[in-house]
Amino acid sequence: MKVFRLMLVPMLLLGVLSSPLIAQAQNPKGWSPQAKGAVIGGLGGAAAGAIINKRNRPVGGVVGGVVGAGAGYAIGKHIDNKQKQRAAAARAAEANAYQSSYRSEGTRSSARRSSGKHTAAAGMALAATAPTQAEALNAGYLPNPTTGPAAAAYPESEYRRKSW
Amino acid sequence: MKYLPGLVLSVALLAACTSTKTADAVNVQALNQQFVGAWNAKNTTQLDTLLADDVQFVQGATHFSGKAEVADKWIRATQNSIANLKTSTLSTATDANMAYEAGTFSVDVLPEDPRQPRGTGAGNFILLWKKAKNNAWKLSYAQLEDLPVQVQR
Repeated sequence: MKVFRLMLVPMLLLGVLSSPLIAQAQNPKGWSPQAKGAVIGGLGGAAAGAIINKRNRPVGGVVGGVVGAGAGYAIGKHIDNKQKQRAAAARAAEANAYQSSYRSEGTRSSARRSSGKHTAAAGMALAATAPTQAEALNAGYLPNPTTGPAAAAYPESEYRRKSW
Repeated sequence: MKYLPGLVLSVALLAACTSTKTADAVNVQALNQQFVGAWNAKNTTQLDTLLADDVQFVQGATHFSGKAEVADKWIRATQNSIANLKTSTLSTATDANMAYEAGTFSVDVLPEDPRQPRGTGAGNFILLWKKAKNNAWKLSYAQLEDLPVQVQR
């Protein structure tokens, strides 16, 4: 009987803590850091509370479990925020790298054209050799003129881009 | 009867208040329709009047500043090479002194070389209008971003 009473609290805790499992059924990637923290904190806190409170172990377990779950959730949220920040910074860095490579393409491509070397370039725009009008038309685009307002807006593009 | 002049005065004041409020809100859709219509009609004089004195125009590597430069290097330089300009607004807002429309545009392109086929150009735009000192609305900032012009099929 006493064993049953001792086991009651941990089983209740397990029931309460398994609800994140059900919630995570919708998140196929697994547990969020908050949920993991709450579970670990709850279990550890319950064990510690039961050990510390010699007079009334079940109550000690419950109190320890609640405090541990709260602390574990807070730590998990902190880890989650850090992860999200890192992901956002990585995306921003990627976007910046793409932007700067696109802009520097303009200065680099003119140098490559004069040297006559042929190098692979990102996007359709940058053939190092002077593009022929027939090539552009075959590809389905109008060729970029060499002079005039249409050439000034997108000078490094093989195809005409300026329309309006 | 005593209160009639006071009543009439207060009603008149209220009416005046509401009428100035509606006059402040500009119909930016109408402004841009006027602008696009003038482009399609090749009405350069009207386009000139719609530009602010400190208008800025950016497109790709070009940046034209001021009414004279924008009227010369954008409007007059481009208007003979395009036809059938259409805009599709994705975002718009109006304020007391500023209004904008932004979205995508499509246009027919007539190449300088008559042996080349006609093209279809598309891209993104933002037209920002500001209220000038004489309460007229003028185009203050225009930014265009073009995609490669495809051969018209």
